[in-house]
Amino acid sequence: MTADTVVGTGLVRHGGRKFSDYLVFNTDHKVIGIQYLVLAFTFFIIGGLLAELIRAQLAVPNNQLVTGSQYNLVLTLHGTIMIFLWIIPAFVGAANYVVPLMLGANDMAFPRLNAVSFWLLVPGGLLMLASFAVGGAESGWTAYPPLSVTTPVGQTLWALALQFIGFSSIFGAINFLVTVFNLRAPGMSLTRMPLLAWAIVATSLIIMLGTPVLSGALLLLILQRLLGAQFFTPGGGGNPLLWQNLFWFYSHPAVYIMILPGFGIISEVLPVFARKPIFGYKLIAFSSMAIAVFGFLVWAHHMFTSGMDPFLRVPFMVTSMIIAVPTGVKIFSWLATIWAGKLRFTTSMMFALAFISMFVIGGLSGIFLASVPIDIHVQDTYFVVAHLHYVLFGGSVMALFAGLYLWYPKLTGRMLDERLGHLHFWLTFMGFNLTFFPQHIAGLQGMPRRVYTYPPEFWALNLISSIGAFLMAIAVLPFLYNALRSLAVGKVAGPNPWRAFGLEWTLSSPPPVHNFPTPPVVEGDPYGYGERPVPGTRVVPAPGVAGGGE
Amino acid sequence: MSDQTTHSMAGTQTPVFDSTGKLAAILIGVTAVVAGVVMGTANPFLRGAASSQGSQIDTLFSLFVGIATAIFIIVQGFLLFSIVRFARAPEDEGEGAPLRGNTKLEIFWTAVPALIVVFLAIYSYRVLADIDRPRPDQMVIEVTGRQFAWEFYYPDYDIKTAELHIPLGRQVLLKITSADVNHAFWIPQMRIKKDAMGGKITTANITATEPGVYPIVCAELCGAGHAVMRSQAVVEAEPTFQTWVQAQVGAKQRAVAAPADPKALGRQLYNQYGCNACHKLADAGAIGLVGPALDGIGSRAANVVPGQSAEEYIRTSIVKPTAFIVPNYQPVMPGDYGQRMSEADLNALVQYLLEQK
Repeated sequence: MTADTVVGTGLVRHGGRKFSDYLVFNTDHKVIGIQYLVLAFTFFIIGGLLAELIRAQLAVPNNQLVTGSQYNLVLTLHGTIMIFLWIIPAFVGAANYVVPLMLGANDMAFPRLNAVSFWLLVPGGLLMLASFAVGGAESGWTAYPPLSVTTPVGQTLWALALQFIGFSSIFGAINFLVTVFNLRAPGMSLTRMPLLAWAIVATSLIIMLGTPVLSGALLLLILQRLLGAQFFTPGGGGNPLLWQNLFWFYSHPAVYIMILPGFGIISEVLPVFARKPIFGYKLIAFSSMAIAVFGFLVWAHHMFTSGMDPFLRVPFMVTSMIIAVPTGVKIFSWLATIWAGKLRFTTSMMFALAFISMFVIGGLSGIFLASVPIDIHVQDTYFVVAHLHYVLFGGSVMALFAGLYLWYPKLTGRMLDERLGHLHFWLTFMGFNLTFFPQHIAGLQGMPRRVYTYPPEFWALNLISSIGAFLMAIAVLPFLYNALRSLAVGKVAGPNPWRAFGLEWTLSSPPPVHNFPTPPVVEGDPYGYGERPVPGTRVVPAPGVAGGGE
Repeated sequence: MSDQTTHSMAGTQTPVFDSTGKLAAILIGVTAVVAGVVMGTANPFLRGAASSQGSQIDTLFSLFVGIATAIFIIVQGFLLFSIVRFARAPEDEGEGAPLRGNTKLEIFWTAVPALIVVFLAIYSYRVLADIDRPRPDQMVIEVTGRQFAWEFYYPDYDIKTAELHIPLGRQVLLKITSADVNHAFWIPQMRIKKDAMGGKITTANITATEPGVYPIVCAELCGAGHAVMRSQAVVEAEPTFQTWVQAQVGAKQRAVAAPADPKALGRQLYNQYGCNACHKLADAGAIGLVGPALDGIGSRAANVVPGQSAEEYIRTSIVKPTAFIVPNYQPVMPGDYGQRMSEADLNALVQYLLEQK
């Protein structure tokens, strides 16, 4: 392959032939995808340790493990890291690696911008860690003023970190949109695209419209903190509700930034292991777009108990409930996808099935929260904590693992060990439900969120939560061991270990540096199970795993 | 290519909707309806509200529980049935039924959830309109949140307290604000919650229906002492409430009339500066639970910090609360009393506390 001889050297490289290629500015979407995934997973571990600290503090009432302000710092960093440095970049990483392959493209549309997106995340992550070291970001990931104006200097570093991460996100969204609309292989019409590509289009539109608003709000916060501006304080003519409106105008759609790629991954995993076409392709694709639009019309449901205009709560209640419909459509379509299939319970499939089961619980508790009278009682309680973790862990994280187990062979050329995978799954699944289900009840019975202690009557529920959280931490170990060990000794995967449709499976594992030596021909969507044979691939498996598949 | 074809097309076709599938669908449907009705009626999660608004919210909540239970059973039921019924037989390398979609089915599962949520939204709106409706005999109480205590002012009687007393059966209009950062006023048993924000007055109606003592909780993260920003609401019959009001008015008049009496002055300052919100002290009628109780502090103060006299210890603890933290308590006391209090007030308060033996 002559193209491979022109790849860069030094600090600007293309392709991942050796370990150091992953440590520098590299323009290969596959390298960047892995850079994202490794960075995000590192922050998953950090955010997870902070969560363990929270659960250790709350294992018994009146615990003296940490002080009130240390506790607030820990919960703020836990939330911010999990959202902005784990879930969002992990999805970007997965999509970065697989979406160009699925589309039959040789790279993202703007390879250098792609690398810039990743490298903006690095100072963002470092600043976030610095803010933890300095202390002061003690106002929750929502950072409501006036509290977030009075907190010490670490809060400013926290806001600066989010600025870097925000720009990383915006550049990435532009890149994905241009890639999906311009670099599809001949024959791949929009309705032949994999549903993950549709999900990424919807996600990128949300990022492009929403994230600049967060950047603006953070700028106002920084100006108020550093230069004494008065945007959010009533004494100086400002308004604390201004922040809440700006913040949630981004941060509610951000919930869909964190779940739509997960929906996309589930739509890819289920057909492979159910051996059936996806059921209701067009409705699933359309519902992603509907969520992207409706997601911008629901933000004030986070403010039902604030001083917002009481009547305006009604239209926001209606939109917040209606957004359950496109989500429900997806759930039913997935159930129909596995119906009458020939199900294979690989680890990837287990996570995908658990996703359906757990996400439904988060969706249903979301309808409770959308109802203003019920929300008056449960707003800012552990009921909300339970809800958001059923959506973000039971949903997003389960989907991420489903995707990782599906594509790990493509990324590395090796298979993961399925027994360790199932151990990882079952520990995660049990630990997750033990941790978060009791929190619904604690919230309903009167336990507010973000508290470092609680009255003794909540002890039993909190102890169960803490035991579950410990299980979830243990669950990471078999995964980590599996992922590292399989790099060296895993069974060689070959190009298409799952007998799956999809252009990524027509290439060697890992794919060649420039992906498709000749443009692929697309005959249908990647869900033709039972209709046409899975295309046979004549590609010889790569000789060395790390060496790529030229 | 030919072996690929046999590879992927081999095996028996899975039946799409045979009698087992139909039976399962019927069973799941029936179970969902029965479980929905049972759970909606029993509603084990949220019961026993102590206010009329709370009872309405609980009823609405029960309806949601019923519908959510039914949907939960339908989804998990079909999921579990599929996992058991459609598991691949060992060595079966065949494919499932190539179903692409079904327009009628897809319209059905878009339209039915849409109708359900529209119904829930309308019903929620009716409950909301009703719980917000003011009644003619309502009594106004002004609520102020500050780090990390609640303060209640009764304009009808011109009294200020650290715990909330409300008469049974009479609607109370709470006018809520904050002296510093955002807080949220929450009485879980009454299902009432409203944010307290500086420069803004938010309102909430409550009509207590059960006598008792209920915790008041701060629900919006407000700083290091957020978890302990608690007070209580005492619901009592109208005569008992009036007796309590008279006692408060009397105490205040005595304090105002006799500021020369150091003890009365001390009591007044203790409550005026909000010490009572966090520190229990029987002499001042204070029941706060956030900080250490100050009953008998005068006899203990000299032995707390080596080298500090009783007076030095008490004075330091007021103006620089972080200098010494009593074991098992958190450093959450505001540090600005040195600026907020005049020298005379501070001296009077220290003397008053020294007398608590």
